[in-house]
Amino acid sequence: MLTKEQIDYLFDFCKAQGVKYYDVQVELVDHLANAIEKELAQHSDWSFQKALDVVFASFGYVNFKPLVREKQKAIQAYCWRLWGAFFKEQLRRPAMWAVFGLFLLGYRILSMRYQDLSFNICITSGILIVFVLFAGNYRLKGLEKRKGKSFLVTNPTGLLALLAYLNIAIGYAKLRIPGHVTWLNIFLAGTLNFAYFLLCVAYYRTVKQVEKEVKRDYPDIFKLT
Amino acid sequence: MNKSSLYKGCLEPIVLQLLQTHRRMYGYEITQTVKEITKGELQITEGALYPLLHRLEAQGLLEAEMQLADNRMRKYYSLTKAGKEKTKCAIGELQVFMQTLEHLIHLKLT
Repeated sequence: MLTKEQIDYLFDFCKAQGVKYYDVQVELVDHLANAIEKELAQHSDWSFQKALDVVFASFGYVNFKPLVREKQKAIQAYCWRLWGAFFKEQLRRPAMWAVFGLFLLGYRILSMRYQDLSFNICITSGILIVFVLFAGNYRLKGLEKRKGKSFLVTNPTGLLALLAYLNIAIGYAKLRIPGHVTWLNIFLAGTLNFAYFLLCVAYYRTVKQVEKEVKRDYPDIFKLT
Repeated sequence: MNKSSLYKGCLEPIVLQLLQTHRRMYGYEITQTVKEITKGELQITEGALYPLLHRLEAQGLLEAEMQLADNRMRKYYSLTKAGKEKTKCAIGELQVFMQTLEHLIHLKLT
């Protein structure tokens, strides 16, 4: 069995080979350790370093970065799936339709007060995106900071990028709606914002789910929380 | 022809079937079990196995569980309900594929 120092060395080795995420390192370290233990059992004259070189060569990679990229793709796909599931789930909730009603009412009140629908809508969605993105990011980054470990699963950058893009696209679409206030305009703008609101909420729920899973999967890191 | 390219398309059903039989396994164990069963004929490379495991996990076909083993954490994979269904389909498809291949080879020889 490898010593704790050797295991720590393998973690450093993985980092040096381009794996900065703890959730990827853990699996690789265990694999390397198993393979090294087997090599050392078969070749008693080998040093730990020689066994590591042989095992690493069997991966067929110059470094571990391709493995990280592959896992990144899988994690992204998983996060998209979670996000989609939460989005669909919300569409089935009666409470969400009540929120939609409130949205419409809110726009009506705002437009009566300021007479500038597009401006109000952009402000509303701007506040939403800033709030959701910051809250989500703060949650995940805070988690990493507290534990001094970085997790691939807590970096769903694709979702954030899509949300940011959608905000611009929806903002543009809303600005195309004529400035004068009619119920149809309010309905169109409200629907766009409501859909975006649901996406933001689904994003936040995805973040929460990811956080829960990370805490469950890595009890060695989160045992004190 | 390179043997590993022949096996390449069969990797997913092989891994699923192994997990069906063994209930739960970790990455290194999978590579060694395949090597042992096939007497070294098929050696799954780490570069092929882990992306596959991560993809199947992301698709919800596998679930992972971390456990302390010796002095390190180990990630065990097992089939989810959807994974068990998928295994049945994948093995069925593989059997049809093998039968078709057998017909084709038999046709060529006669």
